[in-house]
Amino acid sequence: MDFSFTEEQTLLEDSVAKYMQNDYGFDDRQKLVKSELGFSAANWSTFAELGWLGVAFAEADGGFGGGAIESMLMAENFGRGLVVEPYLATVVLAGGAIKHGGNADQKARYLPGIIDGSTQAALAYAEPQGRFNLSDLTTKASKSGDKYTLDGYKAVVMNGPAADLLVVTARTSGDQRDADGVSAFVVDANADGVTRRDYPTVDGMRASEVTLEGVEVEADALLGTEGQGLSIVEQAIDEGILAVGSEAVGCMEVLYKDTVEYCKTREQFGQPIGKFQVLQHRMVDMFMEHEQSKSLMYMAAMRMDEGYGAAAQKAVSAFKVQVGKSGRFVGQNAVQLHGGMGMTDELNIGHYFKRLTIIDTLFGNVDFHLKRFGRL
Amino acid sequence: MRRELSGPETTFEREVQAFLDAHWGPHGTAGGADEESWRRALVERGWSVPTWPAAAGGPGWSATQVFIWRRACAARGVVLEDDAAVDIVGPLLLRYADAAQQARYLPEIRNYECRWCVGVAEPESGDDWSAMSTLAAQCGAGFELNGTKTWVRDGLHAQRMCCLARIDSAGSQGLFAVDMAAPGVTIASIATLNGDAGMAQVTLDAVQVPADALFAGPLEAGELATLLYASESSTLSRSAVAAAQLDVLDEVIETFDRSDSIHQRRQAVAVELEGLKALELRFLDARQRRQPLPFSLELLRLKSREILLQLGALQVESFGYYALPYPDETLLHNEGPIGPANAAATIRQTLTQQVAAIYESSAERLKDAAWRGINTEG
Repeated sequence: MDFSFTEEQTLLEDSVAKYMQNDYGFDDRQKLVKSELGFSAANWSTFAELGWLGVAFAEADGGFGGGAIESMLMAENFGRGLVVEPYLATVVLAGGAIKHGGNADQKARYLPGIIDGSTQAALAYAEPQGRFNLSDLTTKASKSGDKYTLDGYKAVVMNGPAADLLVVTARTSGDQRDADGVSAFVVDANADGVTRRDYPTVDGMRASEVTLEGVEVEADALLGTEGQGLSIVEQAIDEGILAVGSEAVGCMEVLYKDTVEYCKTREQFGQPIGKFQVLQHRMVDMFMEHEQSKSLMYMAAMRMDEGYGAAAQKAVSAFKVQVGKSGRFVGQNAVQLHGGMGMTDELNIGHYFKRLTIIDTLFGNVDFHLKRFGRL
Repeated sequence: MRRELSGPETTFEREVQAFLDAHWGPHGTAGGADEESWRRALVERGWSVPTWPAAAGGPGWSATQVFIWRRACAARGVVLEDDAAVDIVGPLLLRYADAAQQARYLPEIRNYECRWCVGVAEPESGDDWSAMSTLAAQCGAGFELNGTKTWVRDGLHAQRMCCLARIDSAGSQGLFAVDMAAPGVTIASIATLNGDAGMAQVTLDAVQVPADALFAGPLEAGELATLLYASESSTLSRSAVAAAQLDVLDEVIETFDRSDSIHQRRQAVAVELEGLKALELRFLDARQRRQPLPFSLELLRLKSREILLQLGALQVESFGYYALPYPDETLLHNEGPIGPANAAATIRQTLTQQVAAIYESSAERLKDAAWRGINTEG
């Protein structure tokens, strides 16, 4: 057993942490949230120049061959900075699906653009009726000759508005909820028949409702084997959970530390409110939730790096359960202890709270992952 | 980063399993060598005092080896509560006592020839160490002790007490080795809610001890709180104890209560337990690599007691009516179990958990201590 990081991992973490501290101020972030694009194209180029967009991909594909630990370290720091750039959607989710399902040609076609920052992508997997069930699909893809035709509707596609590429799940056979018969396709987001309704999300990001009407794609848009796409998406989603969970750990750290600082300086009833035992104990609870989440984050990342399978999935679900519970507790109490300031739009606290709230829902909430944990 | 044990640690774990096979009972059974032969085997193997260095007669294990040992023991139901002499007094002697005192006390602890109890709490001072009034006054070449110690675990059976007493008017405290058979020592039994006999109130009325009975001090009030309430090694193995309790719960659920609700709550505790395991490993890893600890030991104590109490409550709940029978050992022995075979033992264990949670002081005091850890960080 050894929980230390390699030199390369430490360098990567330092580089992301420094950028967040020096070049990613909260006020700038708020301006980005209100901007037309919703994030900074300049930041995105810098991410690419620093090599961050390639960390998750194999060296053979032009990346740096990083694994779950690297992804975790980056995401934790993105969480501290409350980053709005679409790393999750482009690299982890859409990039992940292409990485796991794509053949050599497909990887060569799509990944270089993701790694050099020129391509924005999104994973269109959710549907209104399906909730967190990845195989509950009404979107259909039918094959005729060398082409597939996609028809259907995809819900809350994160980074949909900026995406050049969509990785879309659709049913090629079977009944609505069957695990078999799910296929994943890479679709040009601007193709004929693709309509996007774009909107901002609660946590300051952007998403789209995507309608597909008679969208034609070539046969080589299919990732992996026809009908066997569920496992591709499932793995990308589990990596997504590790990423957003790590983000949540970063958010929680900021919240409890800021709360401790605030309680040391805010005076009420003739003394700093941090002198009150009831508040001290609340902050101990917040600290504990953060540490417990962080510990399960390490376990999930190590399991993922040992190989993707039931043990890794179980560890990821345990982590997600913890992050959901802890995130709510830490978020609510940070707002509570900051009092009036905690509920303003001006202070960062409320924005961390909103991100944590959304992270609990993403990819399945506490109940969903508690059940999955029990099944595995 | 990696979770697995290193090669030598894996070899060590196999050695431990082989020892347990030979002297406790095969894996998966309830175990149960008789206490006498179990202890003899431990002494002969040199494993009777797991946390002690080799120079003091211990095995000289690393923190990880101690962890592996305790985890393996917990999985077989070997009782893992702190042994006052081995786990609490021994480390204190090693840290504070002079060579002559160590030579006198350590070997008999190592060979299980002397039972100790620890006298800290007093009727008027529970967790408030500055309010302790037991006084050791200079008297000729030695000291005279006066005061009352209460909630003394194993006080009825111990031969010696590690007694915390004030040694001057400024409030400095010291630790004394007090012979329980000395004139002026009165021992009164205190019955506890888990039916455990052994806890005592110990009154010291002009008890004369030699100068070298003082083996630690002067200390500031509360300085030793973390060490005297429970040992670090037992704290670090609570997840293993809880894992064994989770297995018991699963058996009970399987037989008596297959409701969705109990399953859901079982999963919730299981996730908490995964968290505790991971917390323990992080603490241990920091110890092993001599890095700053990521959080204080109190945090692990808070979390583990929470989980153990939850598990106990779920066990009791899922037994339904068979949570009621409370036969004593004799009745059980003569007439056999009432209802499910493990019910009585499980309920008793749950009650013991509730008692044990108090041994290492209130959750509130633990949170006070944890707060001091957080507050000094920034």
